[in-house]
Amino acid sequence: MKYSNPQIPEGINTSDSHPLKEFVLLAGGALLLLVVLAWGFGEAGARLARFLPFESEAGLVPEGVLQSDAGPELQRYIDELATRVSAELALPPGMQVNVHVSGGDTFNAFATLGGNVLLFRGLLEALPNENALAMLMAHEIAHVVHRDPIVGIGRGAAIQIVAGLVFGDPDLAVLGQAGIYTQLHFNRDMERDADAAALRAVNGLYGHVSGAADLFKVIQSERREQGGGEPPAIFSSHPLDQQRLQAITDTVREHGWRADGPITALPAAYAEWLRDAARRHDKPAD
Amino acid sequence: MVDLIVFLVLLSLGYLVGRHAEKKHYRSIIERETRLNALPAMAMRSPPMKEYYSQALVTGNVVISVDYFKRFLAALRNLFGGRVTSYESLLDRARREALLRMKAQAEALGAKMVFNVKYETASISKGRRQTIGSVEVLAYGTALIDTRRQ
Amino acid sequence: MLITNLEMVPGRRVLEHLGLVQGSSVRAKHVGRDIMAGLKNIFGGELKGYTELLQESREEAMDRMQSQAEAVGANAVLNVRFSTSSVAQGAAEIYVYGTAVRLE
Repeated sequence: MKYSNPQIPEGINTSDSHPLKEFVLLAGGALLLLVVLAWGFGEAGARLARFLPFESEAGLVPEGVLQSDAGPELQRYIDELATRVSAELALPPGMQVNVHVSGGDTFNAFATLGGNVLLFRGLLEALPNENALAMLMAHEIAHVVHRDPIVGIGRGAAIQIVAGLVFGDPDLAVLGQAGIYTQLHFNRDMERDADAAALRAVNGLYGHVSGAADLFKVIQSERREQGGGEPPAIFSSHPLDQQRLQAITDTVREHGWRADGPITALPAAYAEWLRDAARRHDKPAD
Repeated sequence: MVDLIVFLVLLSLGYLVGRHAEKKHYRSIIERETRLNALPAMAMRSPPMKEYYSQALVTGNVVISVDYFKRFLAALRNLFGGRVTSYESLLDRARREALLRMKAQAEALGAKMVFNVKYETASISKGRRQTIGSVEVLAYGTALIDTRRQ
Repeated sequence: MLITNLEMVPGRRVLEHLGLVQGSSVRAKHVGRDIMAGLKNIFGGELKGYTELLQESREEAMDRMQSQAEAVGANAVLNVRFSTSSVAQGAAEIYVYGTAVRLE
């Protein structure tokens, strides 16, 4: 009996397909799959959310999000402006908007469930005139009218469920981020719609849109001051500042609205009211 | 965005280093296989019944880990199904390396051949992740040593 | 003590079969090794720490099997088999078993 081990040729138990080629195919397919699923489920979630009656939204607002630090004068002024802006935006029956002012120095404002809008002192202080403030409030109230807060939550939940189900493997978690970027895409659409509605409301309120662009200029200069720079459009929740300014110019030209007109100043005591709100924020009333 | 950058760095590191290491390993395997082919390993249970053979149990083991790139590729493959090419070479390398170490041990004993070779494969880092990650292969058999030469 | 995974020994007769003998060992490497192994999971390649860990525990398991065989009065263990299972992250059980016999 002869015993021997001849050399066996390579590549019988392994495939010689190029790993990079396989990677491109698989990763591309997975991304496409996720974006399509996120799109489909996101739309379904958004549609479902719209069925929820507006009245039941209020119960979903988390405790402690809505602090109100405004003194009576500031609150009266804000409420009065909100009423005028709301009239321009044609709130559907049964919908009510509550605008709150936080004394915090955060440079932000947002609309949340139940028609609640929160404006932060940090942003309010930077506004140069009432027109810009009206633009800001109109933008946030437009989110409420479009029901963006609940739609965003519905869409976000649907996308997370899909991403979790299909990309639950921790090795693939990084792909799940594509779901977030799909969500951001929808977010930018919502912002654009809110900007357009807000501009229409400002035009209706003052008869011209002068000062509306100041809101975005203020945001832009704050961003420059922070030195952060804008993230690339695909990673951003809002359209780029420059695009928003350009959209104003385009819309005004398209509708033949007046771009110039008398600027309405903020009340003389506005700055003092905000300082008062900041004090209330730092020392909450017992 | 930071996650994405970290991920891409790990992925390209895994790809470049892992591919280089694999090629090097295969070169070394082929080189040693050619040398150790003179010492045949059989999966037969019955040895030649010659009285001058003494025998010893020889083993060779190795734990090999797959690189980040290949693990990611395998996880992707899990979505679509099909042949997981990135684990094929991992297992192939581990099996051949274990057999070579066993043969080297047999060679050191002055054996003429190894009989009844068996493989034992186990995944070591199960639990941390659902995927294999790393694999242990043990090859063992009985070395037959020709006592007449001593 | 002769330990082999063959079922017979050329030129020697089995006088008596003494049944199954076995050895087992569960071992874990210290955390430093585990961290190194975690790094290796990025680059791929051999996890030397784990290779050694398993080799050591295999030797221990074989020692234990041999002690069992000696205790029953055997001078050889035939048809030996190994089995490995991972009990937890970084720890492995090695199990070895065979037939204890007395050879002439």
